[in-house]
Formats: sequence, structure tokens, C-alpha cells
Amino acid sequence: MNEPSQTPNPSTPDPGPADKSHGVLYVGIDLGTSRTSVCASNGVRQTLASYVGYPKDVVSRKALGKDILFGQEAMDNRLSLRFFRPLEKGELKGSDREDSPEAKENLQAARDLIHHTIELCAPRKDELIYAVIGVPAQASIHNKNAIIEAAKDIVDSVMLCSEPFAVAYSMDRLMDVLVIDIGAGTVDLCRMHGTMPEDSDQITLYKGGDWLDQEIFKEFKTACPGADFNINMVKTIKEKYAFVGEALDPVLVEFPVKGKPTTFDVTEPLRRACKRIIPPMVEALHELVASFDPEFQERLRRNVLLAGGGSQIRALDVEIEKEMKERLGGGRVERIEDPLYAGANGALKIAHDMPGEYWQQLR
Amino acid sequence: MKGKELKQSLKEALRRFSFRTTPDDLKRRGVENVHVVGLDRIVGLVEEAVRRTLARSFHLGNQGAGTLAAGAKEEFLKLLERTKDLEKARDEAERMRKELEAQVDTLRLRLKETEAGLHKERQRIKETVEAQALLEEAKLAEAIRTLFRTWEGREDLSLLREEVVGLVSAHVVQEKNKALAAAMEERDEEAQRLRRRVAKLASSLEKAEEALRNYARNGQIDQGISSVFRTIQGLSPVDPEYKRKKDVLKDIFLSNLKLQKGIETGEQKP
Ligand SMILES: Nc1ncnc2c1ncn2[C@@H]1O[C@H](COP(=O)(O)OP(=O)(O)O)[C@@H](O)[C@H]1O
Repeated sequence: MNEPSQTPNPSTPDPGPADKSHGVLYVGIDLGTSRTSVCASNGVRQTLASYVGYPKDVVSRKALGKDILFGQEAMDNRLSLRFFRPLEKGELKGSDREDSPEAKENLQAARDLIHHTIELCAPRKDELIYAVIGVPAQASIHNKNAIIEAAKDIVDSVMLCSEPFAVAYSMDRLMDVLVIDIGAGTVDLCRMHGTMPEDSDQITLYKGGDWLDQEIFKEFKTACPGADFNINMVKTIKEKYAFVGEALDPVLVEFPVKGKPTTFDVTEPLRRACKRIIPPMVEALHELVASFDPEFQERLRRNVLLAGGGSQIRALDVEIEKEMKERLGGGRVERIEDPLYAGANGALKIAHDMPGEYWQQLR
Repeated sequence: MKGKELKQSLKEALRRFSFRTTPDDLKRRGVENVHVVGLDRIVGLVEEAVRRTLARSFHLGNQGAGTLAAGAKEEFLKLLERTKDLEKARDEAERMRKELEAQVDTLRLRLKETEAGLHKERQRIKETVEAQALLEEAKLAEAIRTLFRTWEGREDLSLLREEVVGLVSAHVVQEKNKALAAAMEERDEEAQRLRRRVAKLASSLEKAEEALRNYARNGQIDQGISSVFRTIQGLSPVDPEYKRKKDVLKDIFLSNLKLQKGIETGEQKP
């Protein structure tokens, strides 16, 4: 690695301690239940599953050759690991009951995950790191504190913002926007009117991607008698074929029946299950619109953003619009382009745009 | 010339005292990074060191050979140090160039995305206008038909009627469409916003590319680049949403201040 060095620019004299003289690396992180993504001002873009694992014993430690595993690698080796999803249910698991050993381990896993995420950005030793972390809108003060503490070990200054806000900011939509973030554990609806959302601006539904997996699983159980499959297979099928509205092609999948691979047409059961995600969402939409300043309700209805992994369900935007037309008299829904990185990108933009003196004050 | 002789003998001396090695060999011995300085460069350095020491020594009067050698060595090390600094500066410049390239890439991408957004918005306006135009067309056609109906009775008129209807409505509607789309785009906030953004991104991109070209020309990072960096990083005052964003950013800051001061003064945790 390079030694600390001066900038070649002669007009900026080297300030006091030389070790952080280089400049600032801005980092935006989207700390999600199932997925953590990061974008940095040096061009790094990374995403990983929010999993952390520690080898169970010396033997697995030796076999794996590592003390900590992250993301998919942790998932793949979970049998020989103490395995954590530290952000389960959109919150830092265990941060409410600090004293239990499980809580402590989970916090440590969260801390290690945040550290690892920053390290993925390959910061130089001689640059300051300023990070904005998007956290679930409904995260409690306690969760937020835990995240800040974890981040402070490794970054020079950190700010949290709500995740849906980061998404809206990434699209330059600051006024009268309604973000629907369809995650694994939750669907978070959040309306934005130019300032930080308050509790009354948010509704969290617990019928997200994981719930949808269960619904599809149940549908498949009746539709594919005798077939052998588990929830992970269902999830994979969902991520490939999930749709609402018109089916373009029949969805054919292969499951073993008594050990023999058998093809099933799951088009209808898949559609039926996927459709069930819509009504509670539109119900919540209705609630948020109806309680909004009447003057701006129309704008809000026409400014709905679909985000999160679940937004990739095919034709979901169109079907929500249809349902909105029936229940709310109309509306416009737009799917964000880059669901994997929208939150992290927005967080990075916020970090960029944030005045330097604010960063200073939080150091 | 004396200088030439000195150079030649130095070169030979260096050859005698140095050893040859290969990058692989170095790697095997665990060496990751080496500073490579050409033989001529070293010779130049030594020569310069000797020259300076000689100049200084004669000026000071009689000096022993040992002092002379020590002085030369010191000068040599100083010069070597300066080369290192130069190399560091070069590495630094190179790194900045790479960052700048990345910035240019990002800007290009953002520009493209924004242009696509603008295109979509225009498309939407066009569709809206066209739908409206169809309605207008129907109305106009009906009006003309009614007019002709009052002339009804003569066979040949019906042909003429349809022709006139077709001609007039197509022409009028087309003209109207164009005017309407332009007017709507003027009034459409989203299109305005996107247009301003495209303009801003294009100008940032241009500046960054210019800085990059300068770099390619004279191999130096000039002040311009850091100022480009500054305009790219940080909220730009020409951002169409400047005021609103400023307020929002302040909000985020204040809530974090509250949150984090809480940590500082609140409960102590390990
Ligand atoms: N193409 C897809 N179609 C439908 N669902 C998807 C698709 N890709 C990912 N998902 C689902 O999205 C959820 C994860 O969304 P994400 O926004 O990453 O979650 P979180 O914010 O909770 O980390 C998972 O339930 C995953 O199965």
C-alpha cells in the first residue's frame, strides 16, 4: 500500500496530522434485511446477502481458512458456521435485549457486516470516510444507535437516513413521493414531502418477499401433488418467474415425484399467490394518501415509486395502478430502475451533497 | 571531457556493484513493490551529487577525501529522496487521473439515464397529446359532416365531403399536435427538471473531460481538476432542486446530531 502522501497541489499546505490528509471517500450503504449494498465515490459498487458466519470449531476454521464469512459464501457454508442474519425483520436483531448472549453475538455480526461493507470500498489509509447509511424507516432509536456505534469504529463520520428517503433522493424525487419498498421481511410504505418522514408517514406491512414465498409454497403444495420441494426452491422460482396480470408464457417447473423429475405447470398458482401481495399494499396506499394534505393528494397518487427486490415481480406496477384506479380513482406507479443499488446510490448522493461542516460536526 | 569520463566510470562501477535479478525472483523473496530507477538516472544522480559536493568543498577550502566522500553520499541520498517524492507525486497524479476517469464514466452514465428519462417524459406527453388530438379530430370531422349534411341531396357531394373531412382534419390536427406538445413540455415540471438536469450534467461532463484531456496533454494534474472534483462532489448551487435539497440535507443532519449526541451523553456501552 502507498504511504501517506501529500497532494501534488502546492496551494494546499498539508494540515496538522498527515495521516488523513488525502481527502474524503464518500460511502452510501443500504443496510437491508436480506441484502446489503454499497456505493462509494471511488466508483466501487458492491452488494452482498446480509449473512455473517463464524466457523463452529477449529476443524471448520481450518477447512474454511477464514475467521468470518459473509454473504453467499456464509450461506453456502452455513452448516459448519454459527450463522447470522443480523438484520432480520428490518431491525438489528437482539438490540432490544442487549444482555442475552444471542443478542450480543448478533450485534457483533452486525458490526462485522458493517466493517466488511466499508472494507469492500477499498478506502485508502490516508482518506477520511464519510458514510450515509440507509436504515429501515421503522428502525427504533435503539437500532439506530447500535448501527451508528458499529459504523463509528471504522468511519470518520456517519449519518443515518431512512431507506425509502434514500431511494427517492436517488431519483431526485423529493416532494410528494410515495415509496413502496418490497423487501424480504417487510413492505415499507413511506410518503415524503420534502422533509424527513415521520412515524405518521410510514406504514410497515409484514407481508413481504418471505411471506410471499410461503404463499407460493402453499399454492404449489396443492397444485403439484406428490412433488418434493422446499421453500428455497420456491424462492428461486419466484425470483425468476413471479408475475401478476397476463401470463406471457406458461411457467413450467420441474419437481421430483418419488425421485422422478416431473414437470408441472404452475402459472395459475404462481399468479394467484403473487396477486395477494397487492390488496394490503393498496389499502395502505389509500390510508397514506387519504390522510395527506388534500391539496397534494393528487400529486402523491401520481408519484408512487416501487422499490426493493419484490418490485421486480412482473407487471406489478400496472396491476397496482389498476387497483388504485378502482379504489382511489387513479394513480401512477413507477418502478425504480436499479432495485439492487437505488438505496445505496441515494445514500451516496446524500453523502456527496451534504455540506462539509455538517460532516465535521458529527466527527 | 572530464564529465564524460566520470559518467563512464560511474556506470561501470555501478554495474560491478549491482546484481541482476528478475521480477519473479524478487516476488519469490517476498518483495512486492520495487522502485525502478534507470541506470542512467542513478549515474546522473551520483554525478550531480559529486559535482555539488566538490563545488561546496572547494569553496570551503581544504577538505579530506573522507569528508568529500561523506558529503557526496549525503547529497546523493538527498537527490534520491527527491526522486522518490517525484515518483510519489506521479503515482498520486495517476490515481487522480483514474478517479477522474471514473467520474467521467459516472457522469456519462447519469447523463444517459437522465436523457432517457427526458425521452420517456416527452413520449408520455406525445401520447397524451395524441389521445387528445384524436378526440379533437373526431369533433372536427363531425362538425364538417354536419355542415355538409345541410347541403345533402346531390349525389356527387358525398364524395367531396369525405375528402374534405379527411384533408382538413389531418392537417389541422397535425399542426395542433405539434404546438400542443411544445406547450405542454413547457408547462410540464418533470420535463423542465429533466432538461435542466441534462444541461447541468452535460456541462459537468464537459469540464471533467476537458480536465482529463489536459492531463493527457501535459501529464499533469492541474488545479482545474480539483475544482472539477469540487463541483461534482457537494450540492451544486445550480442544481434545479438546490433549495429543497439544502433543507432536506439540513434535516437529516439535525436528526443525526440529536441521535448521536444522545450516544455521547447517554448510556455507556462497551
Ligand atoms: N425478480 C424478483 N422477483 C420477485 N421477487 C424478488 C426478485 N428478486 C428478489 N426478490 C425478492 O425480494 C426480496 C428481497 O428484497 P430486498 O429489497 O433485497 O430486501 P431487503 O430490503 O429486505 O433487504 C426477497 O424476498 C427476494 O426473494
